[in-house]
Amino acid sequence: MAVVQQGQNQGVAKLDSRPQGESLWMDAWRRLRRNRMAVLGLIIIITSVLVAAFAPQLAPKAYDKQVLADNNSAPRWVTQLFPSMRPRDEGGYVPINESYPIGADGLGRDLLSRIIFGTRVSLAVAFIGPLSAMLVGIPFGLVAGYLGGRADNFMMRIVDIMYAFPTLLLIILLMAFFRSSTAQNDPGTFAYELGRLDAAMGGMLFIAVGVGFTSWMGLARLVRGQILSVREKEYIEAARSMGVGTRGIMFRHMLPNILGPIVVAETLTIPTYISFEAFLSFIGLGVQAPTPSWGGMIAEGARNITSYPSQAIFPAVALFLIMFAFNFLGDGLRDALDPRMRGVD
Amino acid sequence: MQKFTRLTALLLLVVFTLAIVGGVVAQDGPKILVTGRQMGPSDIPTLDPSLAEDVPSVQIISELFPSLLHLHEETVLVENGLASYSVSEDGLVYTFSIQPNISWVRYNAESGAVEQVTDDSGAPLYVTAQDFAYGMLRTLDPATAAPYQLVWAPWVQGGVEYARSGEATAEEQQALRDAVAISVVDDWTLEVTVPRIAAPTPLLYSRWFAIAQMQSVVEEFGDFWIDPENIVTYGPFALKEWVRGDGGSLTMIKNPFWAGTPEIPAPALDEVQFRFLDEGVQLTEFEAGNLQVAEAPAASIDRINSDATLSAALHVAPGTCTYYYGFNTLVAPFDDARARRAFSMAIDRQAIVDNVTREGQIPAALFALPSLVAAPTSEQFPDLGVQTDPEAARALWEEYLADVGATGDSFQISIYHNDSALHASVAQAVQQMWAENLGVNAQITTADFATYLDQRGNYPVYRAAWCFDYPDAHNFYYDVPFHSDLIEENDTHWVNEEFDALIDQAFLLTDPAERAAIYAEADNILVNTDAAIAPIYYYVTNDLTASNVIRTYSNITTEYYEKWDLTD
Repeated sequence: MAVVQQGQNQGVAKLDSRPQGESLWMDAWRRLRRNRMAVLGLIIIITSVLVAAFAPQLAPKAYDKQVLADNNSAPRWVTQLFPSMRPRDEGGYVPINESYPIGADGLGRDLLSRIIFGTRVSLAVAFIGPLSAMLVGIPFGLVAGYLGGRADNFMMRIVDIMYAFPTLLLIILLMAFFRSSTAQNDPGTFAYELGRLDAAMGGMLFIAVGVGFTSWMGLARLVRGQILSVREKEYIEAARSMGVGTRGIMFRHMLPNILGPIVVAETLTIPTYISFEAFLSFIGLGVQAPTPSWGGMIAEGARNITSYPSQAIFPAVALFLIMFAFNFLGDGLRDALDPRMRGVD
Repeated sequence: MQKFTRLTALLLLVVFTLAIVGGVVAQDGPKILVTGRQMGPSDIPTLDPSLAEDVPSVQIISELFPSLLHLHEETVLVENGLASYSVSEDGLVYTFSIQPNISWVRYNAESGAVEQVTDDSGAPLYVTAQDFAYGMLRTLDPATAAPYQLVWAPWVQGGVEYARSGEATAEEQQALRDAVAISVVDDWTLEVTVPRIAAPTPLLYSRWFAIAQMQSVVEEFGDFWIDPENIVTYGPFALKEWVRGDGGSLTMIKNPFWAGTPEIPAPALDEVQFRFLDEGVQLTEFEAGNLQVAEAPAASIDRINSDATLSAALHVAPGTCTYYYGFNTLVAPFDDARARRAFSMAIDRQAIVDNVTREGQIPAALFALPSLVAAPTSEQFPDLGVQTDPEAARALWEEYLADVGATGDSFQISIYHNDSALHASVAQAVQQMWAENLGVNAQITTADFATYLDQRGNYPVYRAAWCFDYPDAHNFYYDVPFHSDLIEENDTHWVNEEFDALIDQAFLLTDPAERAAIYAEADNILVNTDAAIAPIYYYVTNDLTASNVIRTYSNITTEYYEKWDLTD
């Protein structure tokens, strides 16, 4: 009896005295911090989240306030930065107006305020994309991978079919369909209410639906593949033998073990979602005027790029920065979370 | 060995480069003019003369299919085209003597040449009175559903009856078709009886919807008869290539079988390429030397004016169109005249022309273009038409809202326009004016040109412009079409009996001043008291032309490129 007790106590003591292990996530974070580009990306992302959150406080003017008489004006430093934009008082054509920090657009709206508010649109898409991908893709892939056999076969063919559509083309079609079918309806109908909701969100609703509709397939495949590889692992066997239910195995035992690749994959796709939104707004199918979007601003600016290059380049720089940030953060996360990279540093 | 090959490749490259550079410098090749003028960024909707209703389509069609009579681009007077004409003593019968031996032609992509179209025995086919009769009747045919069907129909006896016979049986339709007073006297003589004496009559026979079409080709290829490999034409230029879609282009090639007439000479240019580009892109391409003719974009007008080279290339002239917003009078709130008036009065036209369009456009209080025959002008009738007045607009709008028990948010108001930087800017400016002056948040929806033309009648507010087809005020009131005779074509769906009566009354008068007074009253109903539309401004045309182009400056929007040339 004593021996047994002693043995038990010894066991406990042994456990407690084991050196403090690092969790996977702490380990990843430590590695991520060593990756300078990833940290820079993270800083840019955190900054832009703050900018988006405090846009009304940060923006010097309202983003939709037009002062038509101030159209295309710019402060002097911008005209010095772009020598082709010669100011009016030097025999050129650009009206100088120092009250706009980086200039005004063709309708006399403050560019800086529009870029600041545009952060909201880009970031919203950056989070809506992965969110909808996870909400649909993870359960889909989990179920397909776990059940296997016919169900798996059937579900994966659905994914294949969805994949067969060129994503961008599908989004363009969806957007065109949504917009035209909600723009001209009688009050009270479902389409009419949907259109009003979209309008109230500045056109973001349909972008979210469009992106969500096309974003989950890749993740579903990834999750299924990961599930297939962990399905036969011993700890799953163990859980099953202890009588854990299907749902418990899927969500408590399998999902946490495949979370790393999911996070990496989704972070790396965020720039794609942002560029989708920018592209849609660029071709006029994105957010609705006067809601500012970087893609839309670049489109407007690009039309007059020879006369007013600043109007296209400033939003383009903003778009570049956020794409850059998400790309490098994604790369950093992959390096940090990928088990094969372990010990390399 | 390897060294030798590299050397050969390098030499070849040098030779090629020299050849290309030399070719450009020497300009021995064909004279090719590249223009973006009046094309817009979208594809051309059609080349079918019976189905065209828009500036770019009509521009190309006028070159491919000259009409019986010809509208001079500078004097805006009618002259002989493919035919000369005489009028009977009672003024009702027009006899057209068509020039004989004008060949039907088609571009052969394999041989790279324009070829005559021949019959089965190999004899060339010529444009005859039968072809004109067929083309005219095809426009009138209810099955064609031509947008200009009812513009054209009142100008030929029996035309309206035939055009409106869509519901009739096949026999009845045939009887009505036979009753249309277009008769082929012989191969080169066409006789048309008009229902009444009216000054603009000859103008109608100078328009694209009353031209010759080859029946066998139209019937063989159906909707595809306008494709480059199928289309047969007879004008100074033939269709060489049509790259469809946004950013595409259309190329016309000189028709060697067109001998030229005093009014429509044989072209000096070998090819004219029309590129479908937005104004901003046109300017960039013009500056890069890729376009010889471009439109000056509003947003860059300041830079153009401050630049010595560009300002020398710029030519600004009065335009032929009125820019307006149409209200769909079937949907709330625009089913009520007070709402329409409020929205129209809330638009600050002066601010738009000063700050958005910025090229000397004139704010429009009345719809009709002031330069037209019998058009009322704001100088003559300063009290008529719509006046910008935000306070009155607000009061009127609130009165309407109180009446129907609604708020400004109750309505889904979307502005519909075709893709263009300028239309987008105007729409956003108007959107802001409505938000500020009326507290209404409107949305903006855009589409490519063909979709827009098809769909605009379904939207609450649509941007539109009317460019005159013939320089008479009747064209702006009857054909637009706001007269209830043409209600099917009217995208505002607006009907007003008083307006109709005034237009009918003015049509029968001949004195331009007398007509203008009546039109002024009608215009006031259209834009002010009933406000079916909100006129915004009168166009100007603003072309940038490279210094090596010898050209005409048209007062009718359409240019006749056979009169143009390129110098070395």
